[in-house]
Amino acid sequence: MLIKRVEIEGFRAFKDHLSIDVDDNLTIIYGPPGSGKTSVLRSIEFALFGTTREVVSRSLRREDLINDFCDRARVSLTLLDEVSGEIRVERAIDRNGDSKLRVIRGASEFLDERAEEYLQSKLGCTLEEFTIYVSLGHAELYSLVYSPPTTRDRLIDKLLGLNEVKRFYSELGGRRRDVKIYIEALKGESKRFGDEKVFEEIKLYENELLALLKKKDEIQKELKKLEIEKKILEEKKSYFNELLNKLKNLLEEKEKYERILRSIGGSKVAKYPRVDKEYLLAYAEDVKRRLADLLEELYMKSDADAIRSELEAHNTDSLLALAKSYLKKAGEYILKLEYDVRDAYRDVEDLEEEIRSLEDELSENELKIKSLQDGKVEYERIIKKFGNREEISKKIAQMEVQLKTAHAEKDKCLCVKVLQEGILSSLKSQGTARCPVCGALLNSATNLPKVESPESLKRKIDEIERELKELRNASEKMSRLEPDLRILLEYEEKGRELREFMDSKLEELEEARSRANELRLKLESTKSKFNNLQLMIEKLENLANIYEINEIEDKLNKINNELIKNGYDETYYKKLLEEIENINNRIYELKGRLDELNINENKLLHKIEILKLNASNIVKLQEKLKKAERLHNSLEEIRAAIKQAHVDLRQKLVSKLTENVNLIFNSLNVSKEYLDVRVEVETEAGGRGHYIFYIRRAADGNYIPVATRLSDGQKALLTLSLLLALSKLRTHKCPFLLLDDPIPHVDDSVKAAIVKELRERGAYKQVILSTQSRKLADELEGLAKVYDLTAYTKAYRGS
Amino acid sequence: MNKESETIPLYKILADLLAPKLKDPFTLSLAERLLKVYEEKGHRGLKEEIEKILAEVVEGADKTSGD
Repeated sequence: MLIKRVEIEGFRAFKDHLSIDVDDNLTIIYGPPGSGKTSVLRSIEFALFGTTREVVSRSLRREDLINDFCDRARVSLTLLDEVSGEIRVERAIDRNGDSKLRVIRGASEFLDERAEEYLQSKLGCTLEEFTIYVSLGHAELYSLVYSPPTTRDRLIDKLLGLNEVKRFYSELGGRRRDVKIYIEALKGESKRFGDEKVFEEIKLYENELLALLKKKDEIQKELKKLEIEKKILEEKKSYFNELLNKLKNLLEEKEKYERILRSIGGSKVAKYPRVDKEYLLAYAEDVKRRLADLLEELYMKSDADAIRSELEAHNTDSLLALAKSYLKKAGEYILKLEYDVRDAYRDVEDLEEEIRSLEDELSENELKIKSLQDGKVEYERIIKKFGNREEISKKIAQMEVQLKTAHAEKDKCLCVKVLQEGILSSLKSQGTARCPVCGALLNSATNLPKVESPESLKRKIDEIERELKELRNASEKMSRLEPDLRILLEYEEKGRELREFMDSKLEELEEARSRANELRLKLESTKSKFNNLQLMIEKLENLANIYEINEIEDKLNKINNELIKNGYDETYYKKLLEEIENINNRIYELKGRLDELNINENKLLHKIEILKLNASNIVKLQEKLKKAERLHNSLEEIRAAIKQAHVDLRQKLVSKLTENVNLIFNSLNVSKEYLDVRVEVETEAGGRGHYIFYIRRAADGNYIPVATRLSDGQKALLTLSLLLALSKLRTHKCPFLLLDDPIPHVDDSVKAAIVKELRERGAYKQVILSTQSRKLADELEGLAKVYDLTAYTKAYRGS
Repeated sequence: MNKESETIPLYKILADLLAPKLKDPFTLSLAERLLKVYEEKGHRGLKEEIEKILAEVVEGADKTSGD
């Protein structure tokens, strides 16, 4: 990996932006003290690690990395990796302590933690390592040779890679311990499974199992024998049982029929112990005939015909079955008849209820008629006295005319009277008088017409008015009575209708009563016949049963004879049963023992299985243990070999180092006051190497310790030679070397020789060197890329 | 510029040094394997490798007993 460009802004000495394109081989940063040479080199350190050695050693604070006139420091580094190509690293910090890192590789971008990890993987060294062999100033260079022995030894060991060997040795020790722990764990596990004892236990249990199986075999043999004996006895028992079962069934049946016989009259059974077949059939025929009659009577003619025509074969069982079936049918019919009777009586009750209701209605009607009768009498009296309504109206009209005429006559009479009085007065006074009406001259009053008196006319009028009043009263009364009379007529009409209806209902009632009685009588008669027939059928059945019992008794006798014939003996049978029971008990006992043995066998097998599993695990564990122990021993052996090889390697490396240092030192050392360099090493008991540097003095050819005689310049040359020689012995992932004015105390010709050496012999591919020497910078122009920081806008470029 | 490295990988030098010291081929190959892993992956790699070897050993033991 090479550095291509460094860009700095706000970092340490650089307030403004500075960009440095780094040469692939050698880049010289020139500047007087304080121009920022170290800042450029530290900016690379900062970009790669996020800090600098000064911050780590606390000689600087982190914020001191930011330029005093800036709030933020930013460094960008462009790297070129053989594998990944161009990598850009951008790191920044601000005064708040916030820091950011961004690594860009092609299209990928990593931030902060991931970016740090990525960078570490690419660099392959820590900051400490970086400060020892990648980025060095003269102080670090001197420490290689002139630091205290412990520090120096450690540094050289590190640069030689020997502490890596030591670390490897130590790591191997740790891993060996891991293996040891694993071995102990295996042993623990093996112990948990019981170790070697398991195998003894398996043997013990297997012997126990063998004994058990032997016992089991004996029992099974005995069981087999007993089973055969039992089978023979069981066969005998089964034969007897068969006979006994037959006998038992027949005895049960006999008992049953005897019970039936007792229920139908024991004396009769005693009297007629045996039923004759002919008698039974004659009785059956009678039952059949009576049943047919009953069915016919119940209007079941077709059934009656059927029962008459059937059973020609005189089979009593079939007859009984049929008779019972028909009897059931007849029973159902009788039930229907009972319903009819009940319905008929219900009709009678309904009619009686209806008639009672009609009577109530009639009585109520008559009461209403009676209440209206007085009005009728009064009306008839008025008619009798004044005539009917028309006559009365006619009379009233006549009377009204008479009254009007009478009133007119009375008025006329009064007028005539006044006129006559005038005439009379005139006659009386004048002797004559003239008629005011016709103008005739009257001489005397005799010629005057006679006029009825007004009083008589008034009496006449009064009479007419009285009669008229009576007539009007009568007419009014008739008008009042007429609606009641109409209602009365309606009631009378209704009464007539009700009576007629009741008469018809009474007739109906009579008929219903008669029908109900008739049905009841029929029901009673049918029921009586039905009951008789039922008794007859029962009797027939009983007779049939008795007949059957006779047959069963015959069979029983036969079976008894058969038992005797077959040698049935109750005592023998009991003995046989006892013997079977004994065998059963023994079998039960043996089976119990066998079950017990089976359980024990399973337990033993289970135990053996577990133990075998444990044994198998132990075998596996022992196998593992063996391998693990071998690995442990190998690691132990390797460690011991490494311990020895470490010493050999150091010697080998030191020998090579001496060779390289000599070559480099002689090329740099132009004064030739000192010649060869020799490195010696003493290995201590703990394996630590103690390095001593000698140099041969040209004057006397003696090797003298370098620490005592050399000048600062010679010391710097020696240490640089050593560094370059060491760099040849190890490869690093960082193939660049940053040297911060490493040899300030030598003249420019030596410096030029150093640069030449760096270019030609160093193992580093890329070197960035800072120097205060303007002369050196000028000399190297054309050989290296030179940057002058005195005014960092100006750059010296090689051709 | 001659920038050719004269360096030989450390594990290689060590392996060469270990070879005459380790007579058992298993131990020698194990040492080489561990050295190479340590060179390439460091101590973490070594730890993982030992675990891997241990697993291989155990597995080998299982297979043997299985056979």
